[in-house]
Amino acid sequence: MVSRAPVEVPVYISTAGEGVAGVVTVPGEPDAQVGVILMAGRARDRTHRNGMWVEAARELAERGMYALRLDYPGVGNSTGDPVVFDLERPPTFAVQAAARFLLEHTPVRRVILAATCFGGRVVLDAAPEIPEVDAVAVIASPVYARGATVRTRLRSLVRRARRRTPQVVESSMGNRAQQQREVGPPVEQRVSPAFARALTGFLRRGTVYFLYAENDFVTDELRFALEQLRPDASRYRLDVLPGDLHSFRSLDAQRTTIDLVVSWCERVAAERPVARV
Amino acid sequence: MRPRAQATPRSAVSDQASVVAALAAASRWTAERHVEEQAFVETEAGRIFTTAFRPRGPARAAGFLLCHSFAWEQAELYALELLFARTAAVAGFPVLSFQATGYGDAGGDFADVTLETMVRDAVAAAALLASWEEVQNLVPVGARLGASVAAMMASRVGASGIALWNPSLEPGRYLDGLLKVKSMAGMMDGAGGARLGALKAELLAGGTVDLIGHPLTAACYREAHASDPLAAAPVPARALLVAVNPAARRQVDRASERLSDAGATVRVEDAEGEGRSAFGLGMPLSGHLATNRTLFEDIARRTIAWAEESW
Repeated sequence: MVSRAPVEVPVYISTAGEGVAGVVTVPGEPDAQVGVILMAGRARDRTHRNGMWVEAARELAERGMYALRLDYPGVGNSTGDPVVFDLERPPTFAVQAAARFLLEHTPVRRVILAATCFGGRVVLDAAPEIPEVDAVAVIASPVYARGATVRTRLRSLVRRARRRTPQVVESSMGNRAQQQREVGPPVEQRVSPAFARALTGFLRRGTVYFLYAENDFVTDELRFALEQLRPDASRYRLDVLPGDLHSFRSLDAQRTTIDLVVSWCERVAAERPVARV
Repeated sequence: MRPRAQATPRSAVSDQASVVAALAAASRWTAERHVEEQAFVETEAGRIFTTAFRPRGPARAAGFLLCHSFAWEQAELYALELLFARTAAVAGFPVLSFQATGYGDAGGDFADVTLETMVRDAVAAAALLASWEEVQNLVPVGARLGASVAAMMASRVGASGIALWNPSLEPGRYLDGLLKVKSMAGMMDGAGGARLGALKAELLAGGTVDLIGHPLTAACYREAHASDPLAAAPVPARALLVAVNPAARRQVDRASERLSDAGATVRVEDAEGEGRSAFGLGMPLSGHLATNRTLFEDIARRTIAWAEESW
């Protein structure tokens, strides 16, 4: 069979009475049996900042995988009313519907999920309920319960400010012990119960790739959560890059993320041949 | 009655063309009173992404073309565009939304984007909208820099009217505003923001600036500073200017004067709703659209009421 250039097809996926919108990138080898579902943060549409998921989808298809970049329900081209989603109850039904769509309408037999920020929580929460998913990439996602996430973000801002103007911040913010007292609930209560449940549940049969960056406020959250939950280290991988990823407000962050996610998907696809199903 | 988008089950697929054809059946969504259809459209210059909104019942004689704003504002304001498109379609107006080359699903490199490429793609989208048999009058709509795109393309396609939301009709000044945002954002996040003057100097020297995740080129910057969207003639016979952020009211008044002087019948309205003061600040806030809903609905309502009186 002659390999062709990937082709993109916009779709509406019917679920819960509405249409969740997405774009499927069909690889030149249409018999490809691995599909990757990409999501952004909750306020962003499926293309992500500066179209980084458009580029990632094209590169995945060039490597022989289907890609589906997915809008949230009520966001982007999806129909229905906009909803403010809760980190503890993310809209997993959209991911489940998207996976079913790929499995029913293309030759895809295995699904990989990859998403940034809030989307990382959505796909991780959805993964245990989709038997065909065996790998998830969680990228720069908060993993604390909401109140604690707000506090870590504030603490991160203070830390950055201290780096730039130590004398001023030191006098106004007090010492480190005082800051520790101000950050809120006991540490054992900080990790999101939904995250803990989804991670421990999914790692029984799948693998997770955490992609974070040193300066992101969410990175401390993830490190703490992994310390607390102690998941099987052979079931996950954590890459912490220098600089920032969260919000993807630099071209470097976008390019690095695309490269790492695409190469990780390629490795996952190669490691476990499709014959499994 | 509920909708439907149905793709063909996989048993029917055998090659890429078959897979694509099977999936393409799901590119359309039929709602109770209108139909939406997403599509990639090849143009002479490249590719744009469109979403069509067409009433299921009798249509009015005017069709809206939504011209998006610049860089991250395209995505930030997309929710407003789609809310308007759906509301207008339910009211009987055909609507076409598009993403120019370099934006969103259209793909391409943002480094190739200039105001002129956006206008070029808007003209191509207008040709598509004009080909719908129910469309007798073209009405471009644009927010922020999308207003400049709408104004510039309106004269090229002989638009009957134009609706501008919180318009930025001085493109050079608009880009300087975004550079200021970048400079401030760099200071706020501790990365050490480049000074505004240094960013401008970089562009004027022919360089490219990473504008919060979008490559702003010297060509784009220079062209914007040389552009005067309201100088394009002829202007449409009818114009609606919606002032959203109170701070932008003076710009709206200046645009109103110029359009009136050029012969247009101009109506100016002030939008109401939570989020007015944050609208058009140029900040990539990633605010959730649900929080701006009242404001967006008000903008849509005023625009549709104006169109209902006109066509």
